Amino acid sequence: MNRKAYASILGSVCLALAFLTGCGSSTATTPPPVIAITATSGSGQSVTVGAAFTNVLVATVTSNGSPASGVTVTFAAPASGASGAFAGGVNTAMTNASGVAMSVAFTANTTAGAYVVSATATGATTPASFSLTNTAGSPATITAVSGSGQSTAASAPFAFPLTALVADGYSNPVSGAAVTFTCPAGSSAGCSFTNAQGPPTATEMVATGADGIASATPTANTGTGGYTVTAAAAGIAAPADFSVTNISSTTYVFYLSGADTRPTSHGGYNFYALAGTVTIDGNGNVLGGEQDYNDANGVTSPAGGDRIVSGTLIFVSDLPAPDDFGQGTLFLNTTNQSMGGGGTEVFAIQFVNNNHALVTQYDGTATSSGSMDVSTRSGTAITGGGYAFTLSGVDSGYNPAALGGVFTISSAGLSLQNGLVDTNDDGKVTTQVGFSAEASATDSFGRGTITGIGIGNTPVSLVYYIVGPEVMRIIDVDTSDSLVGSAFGQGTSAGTFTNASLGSSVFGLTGNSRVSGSDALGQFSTSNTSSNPADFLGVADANELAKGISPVLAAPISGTYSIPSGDGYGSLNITSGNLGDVTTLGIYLTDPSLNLSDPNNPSGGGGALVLDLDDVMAGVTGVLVPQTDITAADFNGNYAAGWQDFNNFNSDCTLCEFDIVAQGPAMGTASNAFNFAGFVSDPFFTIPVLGPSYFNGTPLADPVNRGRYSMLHANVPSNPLMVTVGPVFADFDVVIYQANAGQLFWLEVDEAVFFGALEQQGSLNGLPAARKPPAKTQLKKKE
Amino acid sequence: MTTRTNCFRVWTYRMQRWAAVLAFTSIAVVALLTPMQAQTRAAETRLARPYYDLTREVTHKATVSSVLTKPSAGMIVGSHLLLATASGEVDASLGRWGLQGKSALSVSAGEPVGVMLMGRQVFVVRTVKVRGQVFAMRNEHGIPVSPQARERASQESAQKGESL
Repeated sequence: MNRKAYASILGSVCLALAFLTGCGSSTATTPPPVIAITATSGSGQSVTVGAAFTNVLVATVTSNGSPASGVTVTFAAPASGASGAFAGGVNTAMTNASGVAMSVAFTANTTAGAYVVSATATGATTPASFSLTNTAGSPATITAVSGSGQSTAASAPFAFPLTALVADGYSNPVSGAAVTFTCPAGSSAGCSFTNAQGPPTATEMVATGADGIASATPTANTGTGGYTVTAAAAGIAAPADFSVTNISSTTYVFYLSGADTRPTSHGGYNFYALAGTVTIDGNGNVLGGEQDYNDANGVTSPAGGDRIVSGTLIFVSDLPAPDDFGQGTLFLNTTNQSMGGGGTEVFAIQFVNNNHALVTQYDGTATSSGSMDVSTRSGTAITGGGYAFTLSGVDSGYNPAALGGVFTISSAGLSLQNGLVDTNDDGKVTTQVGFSAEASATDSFGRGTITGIGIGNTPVSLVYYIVGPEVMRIIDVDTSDSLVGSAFGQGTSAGTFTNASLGSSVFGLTGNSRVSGSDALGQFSTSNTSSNPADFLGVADANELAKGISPVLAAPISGTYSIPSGDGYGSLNITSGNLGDVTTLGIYLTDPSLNLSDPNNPSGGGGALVLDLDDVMAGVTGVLVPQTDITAADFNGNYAAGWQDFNNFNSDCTLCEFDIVAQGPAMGTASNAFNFAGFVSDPFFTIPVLGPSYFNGTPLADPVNRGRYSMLHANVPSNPLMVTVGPVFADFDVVIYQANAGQLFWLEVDEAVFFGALEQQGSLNGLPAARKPPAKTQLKKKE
Repeated sequence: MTTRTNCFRVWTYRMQRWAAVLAFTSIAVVALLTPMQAQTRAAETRLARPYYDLTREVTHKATVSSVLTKPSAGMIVGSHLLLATASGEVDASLGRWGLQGKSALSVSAGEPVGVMLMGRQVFVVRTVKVRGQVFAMRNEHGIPVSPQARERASQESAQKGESL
């Protein structure tokens, strides 16, 4: 026998002994039963708040897998929030022979939501769970949550949605409820909802979300004022009300030209032009806009222009209209950091009436004169018909240039045909050159492009902004040349102009800021209008400061003019020597009902745009306006004034520009007739100190040349225009010509030169709400 | 018609304090007199039109006696050269931008120059030639050449391989 055999026998013996010993033990124990409880039925139910669940909750208890009878099961619902209650407060049940325990009826409480009811049994380590949901009841209330109280500009969408909450009788949000938002009917101020499937509608139906919220964003109509938008849900008698307001907004088109201070190697004195459009609401908030700036010397807006994103119109006076006198500052925040100060331009602004203002840039980066007019455009095309135009600025060599002429817009509105253009480019004069050009449709701001016109043979890229059916402001947007001007319609007179179309007139000519002082102003009457050429006779003043020529005062002028064809293209020749260098003018006649200074003004219309075609008068353009009222007594009332001034006050900046807008009473018959106050824009520090600016004087009616007034040292008594700017005062020799009671022009005729307009003020009741000025910070800025 | 051509005679500071009013008045009176005296001179140096007539243009060689970056009272606006000629010193107007900007005329008293100009009592200069280089002050119509225009013309000439 080997070792393995012995080991096997020994193991077997031991195993047998162990078995025998075990079987004989008297201390063996029984393991406890395994108790378990499960949810048998009743889970997953939902019921409206406050209602009994359809089925009771049923749990089954087992012991070691077998039904356990007589076991107490306890049901427990959440103590707060969405929950329920057992009938009679009985929350226990005994299992039957099958191990089943059934709750009494369970009723949801008034809070909507999902929750769990548990069931426990003694010995069961894990409770059974019944998932139940209390659903909200029927819509019982609807309330405005947000959006009430806001305002928006007329025709603009509201900034925030109108939000309504639908709830049941227990304030539980009701999901899926249909809410109908309704704009008021028959109200001047109201709104509508955009509808992708069709035109805007007065109502919009929106289903509430899980939170019971429904929202909609209306768009204001053109009416202004407060009104109520309602939100209603079926079954709820009282709708939710949203009080909202449409505030007025106005879109303006502005254009200016002057000199900017860009830090270049050229002393920072560049011609520049600016044109654009801006929308301002009734509170003076700028809602948006677009513009083009061009000094042709490093600062030119990018293709497509600059966006105006915000800003404010602030009036000097916070008096309520009509006591407010329409003088203030306009801040425009643009997307172009090169504009003004860090992208913000500031303009001094003087409203003439609700639709028209005189403006100058006033932020220290540039100074200029121009106007801002309410835009009445509709659509995206130019109105068809005949047009006259002039543009003035600098050519690609940075020499003074101007052009003018006529063209016809096709009925399609995008084709410029039958064009005739005269050009005076740095003294190189060409006349009657034919052209055709194409315009693009405008963008949403009323801005379009024109191609096909040039300075001589050099094409220029033009942008136009539509002011109204017959008026466009036009700006050259090339980086090397810059022009700005206007095109005015010829109305029903297009094609019918003759020499008889020109009658007694006031004419004004002014050199652009590159020329800096080649201005003339006068009046004439016409005769022999059935002849060609016809004749004129009148009086005029001129100031060619830049050339060192003595001002020409009250010079008799005569000559001939010709408007040979019905398109309004003509010329006027002043007898050489009558008026300084001014002899040959291109004249381009406009709609007799269209006011060239204030195009929305139904009175004071007619005349022509003018281009100086003398070789030494490059860059000089102007207007010719019918003279219909020369009665001095009618030159009486509140007037707005704007003028572009070139002077030698700062010998370091010879003939540098400053610009002024002002306002006050004026009359042509009484002493101390002028009492104006205004803003002076002087980025070239021409005037040693700036501050509040006042202009006083007494125009002397010319007894020989009715319609002409003078304010001269040489008059007896001496009556120059007295100027006070802060602590500084000066006096100017000035002449004034009256086209009518509402429209006059004035020209400085001494060793400085300014040219500008005096326009009688009309209603200012429709201006954006006046605001208080910012504590004179604008004035102190330059001090 | 008035003969006054220098009405902008006084730009002075209004005294802030009443105590200074009398002194101010005296200063103002004196200041008034000065330009009025200069006025006669200004009137004498005014130009008759036409402003620039190429047919009346002459070429002179002269020596610069003074360079005036700013005009004296009564002078045409802009910078001037006073030129010594056989018939005496003459005033040659360089125009508004004659000495301004990049690549502008640089000339000193005592230097010989050749000038193309027109006029009588006062001369308006179209070109100045100094040290062999010609500088344009005005174009053929008498329109002043700006620094920007001068620079662009210079660039254009450079591109064409020309030199002034």
